[in-house]
Amino acid sequence: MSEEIVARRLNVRFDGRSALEDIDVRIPVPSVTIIIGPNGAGKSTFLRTLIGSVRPASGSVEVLGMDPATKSDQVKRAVSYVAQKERFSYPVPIKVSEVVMMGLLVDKAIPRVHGKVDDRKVADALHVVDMDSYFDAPFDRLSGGQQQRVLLARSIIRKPKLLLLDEPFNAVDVLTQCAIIEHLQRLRNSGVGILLVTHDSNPLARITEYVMVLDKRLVGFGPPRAVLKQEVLAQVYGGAAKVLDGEPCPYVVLGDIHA
Amino acid sequence: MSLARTSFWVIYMLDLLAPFLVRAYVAIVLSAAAAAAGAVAVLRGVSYLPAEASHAALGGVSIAVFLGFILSVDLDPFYFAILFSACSAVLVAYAGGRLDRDAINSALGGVMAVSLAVYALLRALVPANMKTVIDGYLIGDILILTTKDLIQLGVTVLVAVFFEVLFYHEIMYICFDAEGAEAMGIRVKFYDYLMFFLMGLSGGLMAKVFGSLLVFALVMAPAAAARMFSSNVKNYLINTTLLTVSLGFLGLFVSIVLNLPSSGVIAGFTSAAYILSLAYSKAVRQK
Repeated sequence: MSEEIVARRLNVRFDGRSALEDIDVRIPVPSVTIIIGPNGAGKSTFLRTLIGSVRPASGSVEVLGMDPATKSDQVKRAVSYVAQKERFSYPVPIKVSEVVMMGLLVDKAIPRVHGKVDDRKVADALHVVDMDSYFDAPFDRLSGGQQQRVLLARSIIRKPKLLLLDEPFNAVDVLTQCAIIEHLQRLRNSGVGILLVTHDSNPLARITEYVMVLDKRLVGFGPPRAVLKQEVLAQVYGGAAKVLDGEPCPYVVLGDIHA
Repeated sequence: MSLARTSFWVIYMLDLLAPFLVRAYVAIVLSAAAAAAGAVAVLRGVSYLPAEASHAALGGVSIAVFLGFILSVDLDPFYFAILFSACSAVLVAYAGGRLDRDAINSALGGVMAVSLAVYALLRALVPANMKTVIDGYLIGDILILTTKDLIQLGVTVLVAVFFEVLFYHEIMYICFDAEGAEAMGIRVKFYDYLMFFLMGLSGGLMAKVFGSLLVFALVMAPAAAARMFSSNVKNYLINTTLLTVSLGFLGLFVSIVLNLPSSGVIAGFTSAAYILSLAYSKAVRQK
């Protein structure tokens, strides 16, 4: 099985409008890759194309050697995706443990019965994201950051080879953000690939291996030092983007908003 | 005091095991099981769907009665009612696409308009004695259900409950986070259609028992009330069912004592329960 994500002349359209144009990219797995770009740049669309939820208009994608369009089930078993979500809108009374249990039960046969071993796995997954004391807590009583951590636990309990995260730091305070980044680092070290959409690359500077800059088309891809350059970012953010040299990689300031 | 004494004597004099009452008890229990579909509708964000589907039942019944009239055959309106209700709900799911609320609301309105238009048109074309069959689905009476009605209701409720129990996890996951469920490999579109079908079926059943005008009070009100004191989905479904049974029996006995229409009194109790639970929930939140 090829350990990479490959897009070849990938085009995606919604209602005749282009969302992604001629994307050619090869992302090694495992790695930590961040996707940046302005609103409407196709960042979320790219992630959703990788799990087969969005079909390419032309071109192709390959995830870990599989085509998501034809092998959607296999791809979804190997890849965990956490959608962009600040709050859940529907009034479903559900406990934290039940949310995480979803990650286990979806791979079991209907009627998806769970046992004590599964409860232990859920507790372990919650421990990884420092939420073990919230096992029986109602999910809708948690803060945005805590919810994000629970969703992360739901993703990692499936032991994915690749984790796709769409803006995981929305509504997350700095401390929680640091905790999540720690967990991502540990996952990366254990061989999990991480592809993450964000508006702020700076908090992830310590663990980022590749940066993908999107603005419907691929503006840049490569290690942070090769991509986070004034001339590259100017193509998507105009003069508002400023790149400050730093360690371990450059920092980006977009007006007064980080990119 | 005199009301209490009268009530005591009415219940004392009444044979609580009279066949028409036993049939009403069974109908209340079956309706409570069907009301769980109302709870699913609340969770899925389409609370109005069972009520809309029950109105669609009117269109189905009208077609059955009209066809029976012009073809001189005996067609059972019940099957037309539940089929029309369930199909209209599936049509709403199809028209609503990815559960966009505006699209769902437009589809609900459109399907209800078509059903009521069919009802109004065909009702006018059949003789007066046949109109009563159609009107029975508009304002039902739980006390005149026959054993055959109960068997039909029972089988349909069993089918609906079987699928709800079998696919409990899928239903819960999709209601909670459809996008996440799809990303984990659950076939959201298939289960959504199934869910809408079962909600429609339940709406049609309730129209048969209580009449479509009262379905909103009997399906949505207990579900909305139970939501305010339920901590997880399983409890919520059980609470909705228990609340519907309790209020159903309470309303039935009160209606007998006061000599009032049973369906209306039961609907009055479920509506009151909803208003009280809403007030309680607001008061608790303000503390």
